[in-house]
Amino acid sequence: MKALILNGEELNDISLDQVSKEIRKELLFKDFEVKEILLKEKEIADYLGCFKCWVKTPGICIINDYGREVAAELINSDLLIFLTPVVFGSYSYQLKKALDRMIPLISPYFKKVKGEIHHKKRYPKYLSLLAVGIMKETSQFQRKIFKELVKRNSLNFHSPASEVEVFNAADFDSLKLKDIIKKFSEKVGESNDN
Amino acid sequence: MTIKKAILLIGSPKGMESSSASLGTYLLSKIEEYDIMTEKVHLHSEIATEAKRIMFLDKIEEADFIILAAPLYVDTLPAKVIKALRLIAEKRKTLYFDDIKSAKNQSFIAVVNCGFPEAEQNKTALKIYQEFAREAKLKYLGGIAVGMGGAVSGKSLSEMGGMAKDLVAGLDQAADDIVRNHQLSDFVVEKTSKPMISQKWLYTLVGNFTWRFQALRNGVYSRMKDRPYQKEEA
Repeated sequence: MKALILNGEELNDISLDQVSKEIRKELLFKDFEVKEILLKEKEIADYLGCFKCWVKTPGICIINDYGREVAAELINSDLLIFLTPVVFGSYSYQLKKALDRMIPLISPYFKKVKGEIHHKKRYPKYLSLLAVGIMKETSQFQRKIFKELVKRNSLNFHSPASEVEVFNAADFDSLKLKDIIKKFSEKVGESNDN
Repeated sequence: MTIKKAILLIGSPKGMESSSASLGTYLLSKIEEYDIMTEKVHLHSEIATEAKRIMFLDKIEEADFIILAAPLYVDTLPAKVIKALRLIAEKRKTLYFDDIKSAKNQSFIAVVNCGFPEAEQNKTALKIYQEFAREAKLKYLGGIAVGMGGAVSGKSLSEMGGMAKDLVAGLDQAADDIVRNHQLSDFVVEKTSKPMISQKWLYTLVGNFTWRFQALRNGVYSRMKDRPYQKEEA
């Protein structure tokens, strides 16, 4: 199975290198084929909000840059990992600029999911989602927001399974992360009929 | 007497043609009626270069009321909005690190709209804005969540008639709350989050039709369900 790590490390900010290494090591141990994209090194323009990927070039963003490659990699993986500093309880700019460009992977059409309106699937299979947030300073409220956000994303990305954890940069618990990946990797590959 | 200033930050990449601009501009026009000096800026262009960023951060420091109107993207803030808010928070942390009392009494208000019918889908984003305000040492007056943003699509609220009646009433009251530096009242939250079209199914029906119509006009109707990145199973 394939795992894609979207590394949202920011320019001139905390390094996520150690966490990224631990994730890769554990996934390889679980026999995943792993690809990591360090987003700050890639040319990905900001989303335009034009929806042309729905009504003019169906399924493909009109901006021809690395954002298209991220979309192609993402939809052909089984496990997606967000690795990001926690910014106000949300994702880093680097991760979010890539995520904003993933709109072509879903359909414009609406459907009801668990009582709420969301967009329909474009592809038959979507990925399981694991989000790892790294905080510089402990904030229980931001930790809660981050977890809530990932759950919301898993609904909109039609993820069959999702898991989320937030670590403090100062006392990163690699054993805990290892345990999470070990348990979660067993759920990867399940389908989602929503 | 010093005249107070309000700045509207439009966080949509579509700029002045967006639903965010429609909502924010209406609110700003109401604030102006209280003799508040106002300014409207498009966030994306404000932080495009280092020189612009410096000027933008100065504008923020001069404002008494900072209003951000932005769309909901992937359940949270658009990437560029995260970038801009981080710049503001970092600058203010440096300015007022030792002496928060010297910080001007500035307030922050967020107006979020989403294309889904349920205004509640904006709730996570509003919590994120609240956290930004806390980190940036700004007084958070509250957030306005608007669903069915597709019904606005850059139109002027005053020209939308009865459909925007509750929204307009809520924003009118919001202007009053803001200039008094009060938390947004329950009336504001309730009125602005009311669906503009009472039947959810009708909104989604029109929405689905609009996508089809646009695709038809672009000659790609038959390709709307294309899966360009689908790899054949080995």
